[in-house]
Amino acid sequence: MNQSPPHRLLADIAWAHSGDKGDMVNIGVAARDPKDYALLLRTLTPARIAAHFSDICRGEVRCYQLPKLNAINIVLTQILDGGPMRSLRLDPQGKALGDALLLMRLP
Amino acid sequence: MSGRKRMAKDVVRIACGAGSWGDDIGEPRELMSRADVDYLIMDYLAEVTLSIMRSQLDKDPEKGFAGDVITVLRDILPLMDKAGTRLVTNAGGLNPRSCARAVAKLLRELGLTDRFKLAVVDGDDLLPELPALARAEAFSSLDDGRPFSEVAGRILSANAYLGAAPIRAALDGGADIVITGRCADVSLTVGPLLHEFGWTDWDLIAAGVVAGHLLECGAQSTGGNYHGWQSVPGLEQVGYPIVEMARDGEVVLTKAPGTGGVVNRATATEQLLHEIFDPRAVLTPDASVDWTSIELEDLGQDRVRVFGVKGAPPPPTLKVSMTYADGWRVVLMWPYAWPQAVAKAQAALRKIEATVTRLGLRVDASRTDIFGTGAIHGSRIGALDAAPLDPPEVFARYAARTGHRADAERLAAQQAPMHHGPPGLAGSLAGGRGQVTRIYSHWGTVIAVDRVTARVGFGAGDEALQGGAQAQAQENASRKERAA
Repeated sequence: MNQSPPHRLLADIAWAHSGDKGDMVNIGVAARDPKDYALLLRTLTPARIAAHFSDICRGEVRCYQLPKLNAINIVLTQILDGGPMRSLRLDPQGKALGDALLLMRLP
Repeated sequence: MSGRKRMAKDVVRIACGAGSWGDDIGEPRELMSRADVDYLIMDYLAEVTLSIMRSQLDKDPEKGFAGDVITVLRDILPLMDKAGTRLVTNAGGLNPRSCARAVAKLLRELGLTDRFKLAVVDGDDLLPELPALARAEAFSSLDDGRPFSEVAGRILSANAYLGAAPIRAALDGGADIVITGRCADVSLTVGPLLHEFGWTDWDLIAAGVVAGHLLECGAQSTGGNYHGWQSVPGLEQVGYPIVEMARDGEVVLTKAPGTGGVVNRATATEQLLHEIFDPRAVLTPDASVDWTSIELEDLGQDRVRVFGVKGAPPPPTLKVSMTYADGWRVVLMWPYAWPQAVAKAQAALRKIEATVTRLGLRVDASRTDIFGTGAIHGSRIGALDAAPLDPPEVFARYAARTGHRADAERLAAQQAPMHHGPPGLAGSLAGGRGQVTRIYSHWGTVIAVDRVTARVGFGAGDEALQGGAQAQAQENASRKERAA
């Protein structure tokens, strides 16, 4: 049977860590291998991130580079259903949103 | 008065024994019995914590602080006494004076009153002056810019994030234990560093902020909650972090020998990326820090060197956390197993939604989820190209917000009647009723630093407040001078 190769995911080249402040979440993403940092930057554009989280993010997406750490910091606003205290989400503090980002396909 | 004589040092060792309220109360003892440190900090406050303390203070005017600190201190005061370790903690929460009274009582009980001088830092509580302050400040939401008028009448707590200056003043005044209310998490670390080194250079203070950031979440910088978890030795009990801070601004992150966990470039990087926003200017009351300047070097043996940190004067505003009453949340959950586990869960959720409509319950917002089918990652899980799921068991979950307590209770009572819905309901999570929680929502905003006066009191906080107020005023004046 002819099987197409599996899609490569962000999870294959990076790790991510997310946390909350109010109704905002930040996701710090770092390349596992510094050689993949350029690919990380190409993958994580604000437009691609906004599309990835279009079902839950009602606000903006901002990206900041930290080249000395081979990392990008992503800030998403209005994404926690009003913030951890009032949110009805299973994950009110967005601790799993970093892993959710890693499900993004590489370009 | 403790009367301890201490020598000036070129390297100060600071450990963190708690990264949030709810961290295991045995960990500070574990740390203190394995490592010799100059300072122990314990951070008990997240944004959500003050909301919880608010509800406790409502029930008892002597509560509203992190009571765990008393249990911890009972355990470690003898170790602290022997090692000459000082404690800085924000355990005071919404009620630092009550917390200090409880600590003073414990010191008397243990016969240690003469060994530990106690100080309280407060002035963070803006609630008494809030109406006047609101005439001068916009207090609009940091989340989305909404005007303060939307919540002004419902505010239950309002606390400014104090900086390191009053903590330093307490230590300068000879304190061995400093209890604060809301202050910036990093200031628990920066306060002792300013006391020890008297820094005025923004790069040095910024390095202290970074050290504080590496400590403030406890074992999260030493292998806990870490993406490389599968290779962490001793994940069952990860050792809490220690920083060695040099007078010249060099930081080494490490942990006590013989503890579980790991400290390496990756654990340090992950904690550095925790809850930051624009990294070019990470704003704290003590400095604005350029996170992009931070460099790391893995020294091996659970030691990471942190260097190159650049800083600038702090912003002219302090962050403020407010809480307000915001109705009730109700969560109902039902487990279903094979066969047709997902279809049963879907039927249960249809039943509860129909019930809400039939009973006319006033629900402001609701959502349904089926745990076990990708409820957490949502449609994104489709990227795995996995076969459609037929999970052997799932949880159906219904969650709602309502402004009416009676409706919340009536809704919560719908847990048990689901037995007459789809078959095979395999028990329930919380007995026969759903969970009802009073919502204390968070309102994040800012205030001009000049409008906040930190106070330092010695003893249980009822004396000598003036000295501390002056210390803060001097700090504000010198900050302006340096910024100019």
